[in-house]
Amino acid sequence: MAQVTNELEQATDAIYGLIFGGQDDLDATIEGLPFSLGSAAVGDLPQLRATLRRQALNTGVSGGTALSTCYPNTLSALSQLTEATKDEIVGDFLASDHFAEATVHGLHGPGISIEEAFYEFARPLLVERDRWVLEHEFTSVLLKLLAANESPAFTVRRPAVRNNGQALVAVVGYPAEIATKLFPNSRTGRHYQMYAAVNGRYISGKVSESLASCVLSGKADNTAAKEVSQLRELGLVA
Amino acid sequence: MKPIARQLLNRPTLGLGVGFDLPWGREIGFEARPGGEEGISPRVEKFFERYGELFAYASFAFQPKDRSVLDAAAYWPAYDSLYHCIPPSATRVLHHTMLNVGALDNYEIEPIVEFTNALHERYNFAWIVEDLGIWSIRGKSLPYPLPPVLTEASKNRCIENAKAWSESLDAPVVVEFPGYSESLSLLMGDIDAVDFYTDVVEQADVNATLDVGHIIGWAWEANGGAGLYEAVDRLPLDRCVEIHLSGASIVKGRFRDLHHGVLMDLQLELLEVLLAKCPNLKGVTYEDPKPNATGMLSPTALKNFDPLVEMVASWHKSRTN
Repeated sequence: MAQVTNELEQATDAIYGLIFGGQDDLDATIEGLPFSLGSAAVGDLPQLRATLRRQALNTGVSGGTALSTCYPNTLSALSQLTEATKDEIVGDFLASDHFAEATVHGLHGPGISIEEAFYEFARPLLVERDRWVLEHEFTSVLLKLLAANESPAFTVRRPAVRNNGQALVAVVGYPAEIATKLFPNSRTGRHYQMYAAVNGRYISGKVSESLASCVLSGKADNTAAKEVSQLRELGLVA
Repeated sequence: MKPIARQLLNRPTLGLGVGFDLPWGREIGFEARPGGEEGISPRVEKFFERYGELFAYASFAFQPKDRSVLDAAAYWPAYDSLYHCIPPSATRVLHHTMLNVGALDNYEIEPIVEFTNALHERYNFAWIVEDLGIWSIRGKSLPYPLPPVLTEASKNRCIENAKAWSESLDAPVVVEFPGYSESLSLLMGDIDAVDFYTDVVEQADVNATLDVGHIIGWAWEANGGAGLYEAVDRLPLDRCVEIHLSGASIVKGRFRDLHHGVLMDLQLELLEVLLAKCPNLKGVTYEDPKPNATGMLSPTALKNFDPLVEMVASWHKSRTN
């Protein structure tokens, strides 16, 4: 029985590697398979992999958001830094342990979203400046996902996302030189950007430092009363 | 044969049916409406206004609406609107996409069982069908279900999977012959795919759906088109309750399962053979029509749709007289 289970597990790993494998030596992968592969299939594999990469980039793979939609600037930065095409970057992501860890419907055990998996894949590859871009793109898509999924089947690993009792919120403080590039309304000084999922809606906007703490705690204080009442109207604080 | 499988065989013959894949946010699918409601898209609505009376049953393929934990009630507004535009007399069939009967890895079936049985309780499906395929692997869904790995260990797992679904779901489970399409599916393992499928259906004691394009696709992808008609007699014909036809084409000797609504002559030829050989057949499903904005089929699609309607009507008449 254990032998059969092992054989099935091996076959599953082999198929997963065939489909989502990276830029490795395809001939060697095929050679090591625990089952035979039809001659047409051998010829079809590069195209099947290309279809998946295209899908991941343009429409979303396995129910995830299209990476070109949610990570446009991160992909450009990665492409510049690594001198790889976006297609190759996506291929490396699909072959990564980060992607393997992600879940869509939570039926194979808990896992993070494909979007968070991409964040974890990309972060170590980027330089400091581009990490802020990644931070913005990731926090934005994650809160959009949480707004659209009241009971998400995926877990959220990022500690910046908090349930403040009213809404799911995150606030990121960007250095001025980064913020001026990311947000048209940014001026001088540190820029606090709020991202929130509340009653099925995604809301994002600039907040002051004191409002940032209101948003994170979900409780209003006496400062900036007008802005606090706006936050209350949006359902972000009690 | 299990009582539930036999019960399906005892149902009256239905005739022609229609099947739609209904993704969310597409022209043919479900859409968000003003006020936050969800409903069926106007194209599908208009298709049923125009052609609805031709179909004795309607089948739709399940597509998850989001990435929430499965909750049947979240689908009711959209599905209610779908069934509102289908004639109430039409029998209902669910084409599942999450049973993953060909999968070799373990996954949790209980949430899917609960979800599907809740849908069945509300919509009363005559049967639930899914291709014998690997729809997802390690939790990642694929652009086109892979056919199962054709080895003994895989076959035994497929039989266990089909039995588990058949025992867990309240509606009869029907297993469909897997699809083979150029560049989207891989022929893995050495057992003959027809023998493999027949063994799974018979040993799991379930009923069968034969997709004409999938059988042609297998013959083309495995043998360059040879052995197609010889293979028919090795299929579980007495267990076949449904035949599928969806748009396909053969380009440079390779089969493409396009689901674009345009049937090949060869599909109608094979259908004619199958109609004569499947004694317990209930219906023939025209899958994935592509109506335009007014609900009409294109002249290219109508070229073989009209003969399909006639052929099925004539078969149905012969079975009911």
